[in-house]
Amino acid sequence: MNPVLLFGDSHVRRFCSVLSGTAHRYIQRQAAYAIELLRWPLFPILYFLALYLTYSVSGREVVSGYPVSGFLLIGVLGMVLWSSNLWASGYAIEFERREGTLQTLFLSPASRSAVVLGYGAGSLLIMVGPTAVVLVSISLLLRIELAVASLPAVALSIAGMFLAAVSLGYVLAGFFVLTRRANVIANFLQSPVLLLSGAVLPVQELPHALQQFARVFPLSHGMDAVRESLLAGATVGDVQGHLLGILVTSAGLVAIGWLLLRRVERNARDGAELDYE
Amino acid sequence: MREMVPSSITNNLRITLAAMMIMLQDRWFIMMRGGFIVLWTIRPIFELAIAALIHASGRTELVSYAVVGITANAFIFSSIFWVGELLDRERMRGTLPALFLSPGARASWLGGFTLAGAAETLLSAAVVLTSGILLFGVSFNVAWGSFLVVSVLFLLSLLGLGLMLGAVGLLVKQSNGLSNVAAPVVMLLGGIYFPVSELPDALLIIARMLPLGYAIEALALSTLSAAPLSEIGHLILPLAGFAIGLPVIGYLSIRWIDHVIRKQGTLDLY
Repeated sequence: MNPVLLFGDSHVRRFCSVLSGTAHRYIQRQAAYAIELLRWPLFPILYFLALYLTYSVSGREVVSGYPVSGFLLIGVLGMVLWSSNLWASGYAIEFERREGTLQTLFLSPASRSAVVLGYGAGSLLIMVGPTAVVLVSISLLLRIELAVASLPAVALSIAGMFLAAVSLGYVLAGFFVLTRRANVIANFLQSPVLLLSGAVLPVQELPHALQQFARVFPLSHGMDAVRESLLAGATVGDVQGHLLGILVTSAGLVAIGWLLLRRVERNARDGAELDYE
Repeated sequence: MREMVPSSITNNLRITLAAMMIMLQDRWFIMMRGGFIVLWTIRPIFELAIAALIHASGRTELVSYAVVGITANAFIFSSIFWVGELLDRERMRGTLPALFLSPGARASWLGGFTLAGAAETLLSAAVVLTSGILLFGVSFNVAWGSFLVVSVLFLLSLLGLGLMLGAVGLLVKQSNGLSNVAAPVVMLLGGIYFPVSELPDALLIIARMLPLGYAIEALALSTLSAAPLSEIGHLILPLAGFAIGLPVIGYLSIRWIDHVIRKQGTLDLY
């Protein structure tokens, strides 16, 4: 729907226009290369199968109280959301810098946050959407047993997982470009987060000191909430602790992300050469 | 029309050495100033930890296998992301036409660039092995003769795979995308986390069409239980076939792609 019809000629409308325009551009750019469309869904699906078989070969059918397939399905979905936000919204400002368009962006009246979120929205539509569909199809093939007691709990948990991922991407957008080491940090962050967040391995199986990461990582709360509400029949009351954790950490991340974006812009205006490697 | 200026072996070796040195300097800059050293040293530890911790609460004997598998994966990774992307990377830099027009043999500078990548691969492999020993208490019992034979065959097979990927990557002009498609396939079918013989039948058939499962199983047997050549002959034989066949196919692929892009004039198209 046209944002003008929804919000009139306001800040919100302009924000939505920039967001949808950026998302559209992101989708067009990704769709230009067929192999890009193939690689994004392929990796999580094959990774899911590889880990599912690894658990099976090791004789493990239940993980953290859930069937392996269900546990991994939600973990891999969390991983896809994390990767998508890491490489799309997290990388947005860095991408503009590498393309040489960052100064132009800062001279335009477009909301920087809308650009960052637009990258994330584009990735969500073209990468996460198809991947989620294939993962759900796999879950049907593997006959994952769902135990849903409260649909609102499931909906809120899924929304919470998305919110957590988006806020993480948002905070990284400014951080990456300020470090000027975006590529190496983005690549580096993938494996530790995969291990420490509880996406593919129960946090309880980690050494005690390493378990603390999942307590503060919002995506871990999101995955826990979805697992509990979708596979263990949890109600809204049961997952409210996780949801509250997501809200608090996401709010903190968005505030930090906003400050970092302002810092990037200030640096650019003060003549700090953000185009330098 | 392709014209090769005849070069002596010595000259080509010099080109190999020069290509290796220049690439090493380039990589050194990226690794140290760019911070990639952290990525290459720490990331494999987390990859190992995931597989090892899965097995640690299940079949503990597979922890050792995973250490060998993920060490071998450092070389597979290099074959896909380093060798497989060499040509396209040079194309993106704008230096590929000059390399193609240089009087040295293709194999000379390709060989030099490949050797430069081996340094990072060895570092990554060493980190995995050390982590396996220190974090998961894995101990090795190596039959050096078997290990050397398997390693040579494994590396030759990987070189062939890398060259093939490089040729296709140059054709589709998206070698990184292609690498990212190939890597998870290898992860599933390569026998990295567990022996391919444990795969379901349908996947096992496909896995047996790749050299990786044979190589990693043979490496595990020769390094963990000191299996002599006679004991791993059933794995060595098919692996030898791949070690001979794949480099030849890889070389022919590069020649073919060279011919195609010259004919189409698409080398500099993006």
